Amino acid sequence: MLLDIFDPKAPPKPIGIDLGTTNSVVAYVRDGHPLAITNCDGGVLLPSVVYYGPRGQVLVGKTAQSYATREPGRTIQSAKRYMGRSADDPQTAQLSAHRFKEAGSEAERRVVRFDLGEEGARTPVEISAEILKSLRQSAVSQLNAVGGVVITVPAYFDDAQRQATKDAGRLAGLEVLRLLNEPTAAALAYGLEKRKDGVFAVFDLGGGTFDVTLLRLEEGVFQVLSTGGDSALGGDDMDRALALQLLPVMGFAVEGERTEAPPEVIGLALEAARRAKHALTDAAELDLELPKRGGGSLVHRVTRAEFDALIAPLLGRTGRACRRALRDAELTPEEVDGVILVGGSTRVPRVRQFVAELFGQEPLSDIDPDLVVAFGAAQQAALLAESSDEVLLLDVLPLSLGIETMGGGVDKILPRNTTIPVGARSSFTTFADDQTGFELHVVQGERELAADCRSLARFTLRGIPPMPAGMARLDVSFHVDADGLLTVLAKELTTGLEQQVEVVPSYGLTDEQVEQMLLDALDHGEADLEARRLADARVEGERISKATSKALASDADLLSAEERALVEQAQRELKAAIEGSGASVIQARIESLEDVTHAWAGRRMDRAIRAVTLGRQVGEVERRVEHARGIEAHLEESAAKAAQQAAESAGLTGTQFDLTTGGQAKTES
Amino acid sequence: MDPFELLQIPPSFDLDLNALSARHRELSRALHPDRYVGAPSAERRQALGRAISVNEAWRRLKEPVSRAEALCERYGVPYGERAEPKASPDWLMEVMELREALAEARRARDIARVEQLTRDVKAAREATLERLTAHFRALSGGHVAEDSAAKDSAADGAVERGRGEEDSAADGGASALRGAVSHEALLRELGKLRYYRRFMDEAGATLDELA
Repeated sequence: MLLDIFDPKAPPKPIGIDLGTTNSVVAYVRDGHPLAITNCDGGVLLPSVVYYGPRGQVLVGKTAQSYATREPGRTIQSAKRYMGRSADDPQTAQLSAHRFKEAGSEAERRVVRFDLGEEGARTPVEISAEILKSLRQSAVSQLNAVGGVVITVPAYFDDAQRQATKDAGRLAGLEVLRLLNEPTAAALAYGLEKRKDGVFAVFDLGGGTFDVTLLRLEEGVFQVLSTGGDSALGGDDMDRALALQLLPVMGFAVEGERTEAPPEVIGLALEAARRAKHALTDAAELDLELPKRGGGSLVHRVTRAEFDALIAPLLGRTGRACRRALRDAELTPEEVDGVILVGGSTRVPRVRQFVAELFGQEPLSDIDPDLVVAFGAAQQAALLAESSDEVLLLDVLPLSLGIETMGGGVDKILPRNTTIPVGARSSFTTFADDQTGFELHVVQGERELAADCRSLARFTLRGIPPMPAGMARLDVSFHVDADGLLTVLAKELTTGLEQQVEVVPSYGLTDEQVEQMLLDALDHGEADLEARRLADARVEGERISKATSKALASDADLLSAEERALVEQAQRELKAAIEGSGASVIQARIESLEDVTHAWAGRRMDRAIRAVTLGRQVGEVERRVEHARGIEAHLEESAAKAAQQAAESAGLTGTQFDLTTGGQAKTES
Repeated sequence: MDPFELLQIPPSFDLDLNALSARHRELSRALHPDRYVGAPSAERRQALGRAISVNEAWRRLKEPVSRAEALCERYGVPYGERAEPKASPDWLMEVMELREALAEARRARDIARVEQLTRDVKAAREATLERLTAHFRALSGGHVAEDSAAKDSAADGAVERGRGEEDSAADGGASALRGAVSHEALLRELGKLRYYRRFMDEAGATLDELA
């Protein structure tokens, strides 16, 4: 292995993390190629297992895994399956060696808590944060300084699951640049390697989640056409299906997913099932040695044919999701140019065979399916850090967003597979005379009844002056950002009283809770907090000052002399504040600088639009010329035209594209 | 804002979807939040707002029903529940037949039949799309006479290929083409297009269920 030369002044390196159900990987890009970073176990796949020992001891990875059969209650595996889920989620009722904490209050009900006995309880967010911290540590020891991070999530993760992942990143002290969908990350890794345009299907069957994504790669743009899946379907389910067969053999009664076996025995059965699954990748049959109830052991033979039959219903579910994704993208299997396999569960021979039959072609797996997602995440992190415009990922909203209607139905506001970022607006009115409040319920999912969809948030608007029914108007706007995260804003318009409404998420931790966890993680309280705020403000200030210098170097001509003087003045003041020691002073200077650069930023966006438009127009002119007459005769013409257009766009003359929402960036000639 | 203006695309109903997507990609390259990750937060918000508008406009123009509605807004044709004419008895009959056929196929778990129905509706939808194209051409006040007479016969052909469309709509389409702009005929076609979309969704859900 090549080692990086240690350079204490090296700029922080962006990293990508695949936070998996079974294993997690951290990677970075060196000389344009992605590399996995060696973790605390000395390998690249870090088992996503956390052990909570006595007196606050926390272990991650293989060492944690070694406690799994001895102390299953303190060793948390597959925490990802519980991200963004409530304490009474059906997931908690499945066969598992974990114990869950009973929810006492309403606030507690919104989040699953693993019961660790004397060590208290932990949420999946905290457990994931431990895994992320360990990976960050490995990255820091190899790269010296770590910059922003891209963390991957299953494409089919809903809003609460995404938010939980982002919270875990924050808790681990990481600057999360972007949440990236796992299949999109895999496609990016393949696409950047193969440089071939076309339609690709990504079949991603991991430890706990299944995703299928169809995307078109064209001129460096990765456009997701549709996505589908199941955020609770994966290799774990194969293990469980087999374990449920093994338990009776071992002498423990099983009924549905319930068994009389104690957690330690369930742990052993699941472990044996996992071993059998791995062995059956190469072998046709296997003799498992299993402990017998009341002592002793027995040998039980498992064949691949039996295993294939057990997983058939699971594959059936993946097939349905694939067919729907194809239909949503208006594609047939023949129109797919390549199928990419992702996730450890695609090593199962029957899974490969199933995918080959479904798409009528042999799938690609030349990049290690366990690493390909982390590679894509690292590449995206590198692209984001340098604001490259060569490659662009256009992803989609995986599940429809809607609002519960009066009758318990759903009024769809944004359909699934809408390209993000996206926004929508809806108006509501009072249905009774003198109604003084609204209650709205935001849901996510495809089912017709709100009760069958996933509840995202409820909010109430109070204090509407009494009016006849239908007079008051509530304007609700939804924004889904590039991470797939939703923001809801509501305003009551009739009265002129523009009231913003606080949205209470139905699941997950509130911002205050995450903030509190961050505080708890600090050892020395107040002084540390102030120091941390100052450090954060300085980093932010530096970044903005740098961005301003960069913009001045390329686009100063879009400023008048007076404007330029103001920008430079504000930048000097910000630099001075960074040298000082007041976090709030830095914040204030950042805001002043943003105020004087706002209109300019709009003009720079217009210029960026002109540049891409111009690029195409020049290309078109050249193509037309080639087809029509001699190239020489027209090369001059097109060059002249391009020069003219370039001159137009460089100055402030000509029509400006007005793509703003508020129209604030419109510039005068 | 008018999505055609926003994307700088010439307004028409039968627009080139590939060109539309290319335009969207182009604008995304300039405005997508990924380009502004290191930028000051005010600039990020501004770019996000514009990227959202671009995606919104693209979404409206991609899908024929919302594209038709955008054109209606552009030409000042009122649409929506209150503005649209009542369905004709012939059309109601066709809707009922389609619905029954789908329910029947679902009961019989006849996947091939559902697929056949989907193909039929696709063909009928094509015919409706062509008639809407003609209506919107007429509305835009462009060259109506000869050009669209040819289109009209093409549309009639498609009707026959489709499954026994009723005549009234085709007649309505023709009268619109003669210059007397009849919003009623246009809105009837729009209503059909909405139904076809819903039927396809239902047929898709049925296929999911039967698979």
